[in-house]
Amino acid sequence: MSGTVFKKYLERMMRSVRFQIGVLYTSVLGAILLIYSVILYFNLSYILYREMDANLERKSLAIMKTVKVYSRLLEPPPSGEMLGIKRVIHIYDVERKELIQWPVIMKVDRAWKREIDRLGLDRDYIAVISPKGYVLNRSKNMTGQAFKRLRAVFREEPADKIRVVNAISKDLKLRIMAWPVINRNRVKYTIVIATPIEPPLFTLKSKMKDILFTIFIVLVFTSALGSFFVANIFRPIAEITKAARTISYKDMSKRVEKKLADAEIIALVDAFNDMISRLEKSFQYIEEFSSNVSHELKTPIAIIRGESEIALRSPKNEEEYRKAIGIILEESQRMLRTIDDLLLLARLDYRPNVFKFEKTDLVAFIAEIYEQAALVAQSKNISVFIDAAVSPLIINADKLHLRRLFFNLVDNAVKFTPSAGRITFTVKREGAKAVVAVSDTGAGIAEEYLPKIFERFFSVDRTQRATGSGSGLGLSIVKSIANIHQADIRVTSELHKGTTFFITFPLL
Amino acid sequence: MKRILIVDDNSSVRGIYTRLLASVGYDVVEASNACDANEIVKRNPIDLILLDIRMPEVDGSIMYEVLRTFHKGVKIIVSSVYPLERQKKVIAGATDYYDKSRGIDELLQKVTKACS
Repeated sequence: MSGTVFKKYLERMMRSVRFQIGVLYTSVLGAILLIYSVILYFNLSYILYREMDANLERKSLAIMKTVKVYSRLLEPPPSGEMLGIKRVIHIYDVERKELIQWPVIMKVDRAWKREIDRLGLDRDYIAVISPKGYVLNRSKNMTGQAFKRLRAVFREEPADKIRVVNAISKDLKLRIMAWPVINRNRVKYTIVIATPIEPPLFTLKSKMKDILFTIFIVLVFTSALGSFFVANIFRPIAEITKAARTISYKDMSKRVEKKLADAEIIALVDAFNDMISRLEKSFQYIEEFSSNVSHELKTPIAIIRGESEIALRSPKNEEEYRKAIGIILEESQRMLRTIDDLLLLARLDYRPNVFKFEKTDLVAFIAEIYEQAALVAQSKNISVFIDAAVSPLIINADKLHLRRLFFNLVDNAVKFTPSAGRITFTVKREGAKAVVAVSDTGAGIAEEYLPKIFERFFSVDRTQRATGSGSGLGLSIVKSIANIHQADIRVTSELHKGTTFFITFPLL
Repeated sequence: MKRILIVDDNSSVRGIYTRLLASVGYDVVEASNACDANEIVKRNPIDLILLDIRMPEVDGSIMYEVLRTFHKGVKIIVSSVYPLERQKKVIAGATDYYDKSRGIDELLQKVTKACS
């Protein structure tokens, strides 16, 4: 049970960005440090070996030089050479009386002793090997182990090249240099010097363990530090998450603070806050809209109910009943219109594909509208004019709804224009567009209201609406129908002088 | 006889309330907007006002503030199609609140209570 819980926790942790980033940089850093240490190790050991080999070379050269000096002083070669070798190797070991005590040679002895001290030759193993592989001479310390190892390394025929080998066993670690002395293209003998591998190299090896441990500590420390920084970076995200959880339609006032955040996070916070603002606006709009809808639908119901209750309260005469029924009928019709308008708006906004478009001549179409408008306006003694282009202007139109657009405009024009006023239709071409203007000599709209007239349920004078037929949706419908025709709608107006609506259609 | 002022932009609504209240013996005066209502209140003693909230130009809530400042004694029943809690939010502290869609009996009851 606890095992699965732990597994789930582990899975969640592994999927967190914080963990992944942590693993990534820890492994990258670890790899870099490791590669760096390995390179450093090999580089250092190479330098140390080179140093050691250079020392061995110096020693070999010193030996050869001194052998030469001795042999020249003692006897002519080759016997003198062998004596020289013996003296060089055994300067410390051999009993004093065995050695020739000439003052000249004593002088060389002293110089050679100094040289040995300087070069550190006394700790080395020295041997001279014949071309056949026999040991001609060897230092006194080269016994047992050391001798065996040396023999093992040089069992084969000594080469005529300088060779360097490592001979490493548990208790004896040697670096061996074999230096053949060549005379007339023949190897006379080979000087072999074996020197214990110097402590620095072993120090380096043991240091490597320390280095690896240090790398481990550094990684632990940096991963902890990095984890802290990453957590810091992600704290605003946690705040956004928290804020997102608390935001609901009941309270949309909450925003995420963006103090001390990084640029990318600030952009995220801004986008998030903007989204909440837009949502808040949408919610406000929906709230207002539904409140308007309920107001527009409840008012007729209140009137219908009131009229019915009054009529039923006490006996009335026929005229009173007729009047009540008339009001009820009128209100139910108004309600129906409001509902129809709302459904039409919903279709226009959300299902524009249900409309049927066909090629339509706008000039002929407006001429038809003009005739019907003239009939409607007659009752109010308003004259209607048309000024249309001669050639046809073809647009893509849903005739039924386009008719609705212009009737709504005509309705408004007639409603707000006093008798003896004028309504004028103008149809003309403007580049690749056709423009229809509907203007009246009516009441006009105050400038402050102009941006609002296409809003749903907006009405400059609601008294007009209470008595007239409008629901406050007429111009919203006009705008939505224009939208599905890809037409622009614009309005200019002057109070007490009149209003003009311009609708601009794209020509086919 | 108590005098009641009905302030509402909808003539049908005013018609219903006038007939109802007149039939039970109240003196009823009508106003279709806040300005007319203000004039009437200034010139005539009014006992109770039925005040609509949503009206063109001057809203019922502004009208209420004016009435409460200059005519402290008058009783006011807020009368709207808005739900009661919304009415109370828009206009706080009125004598009573009435939802227009609730029928005339409830209105009569509230008017009687306010006038007693």
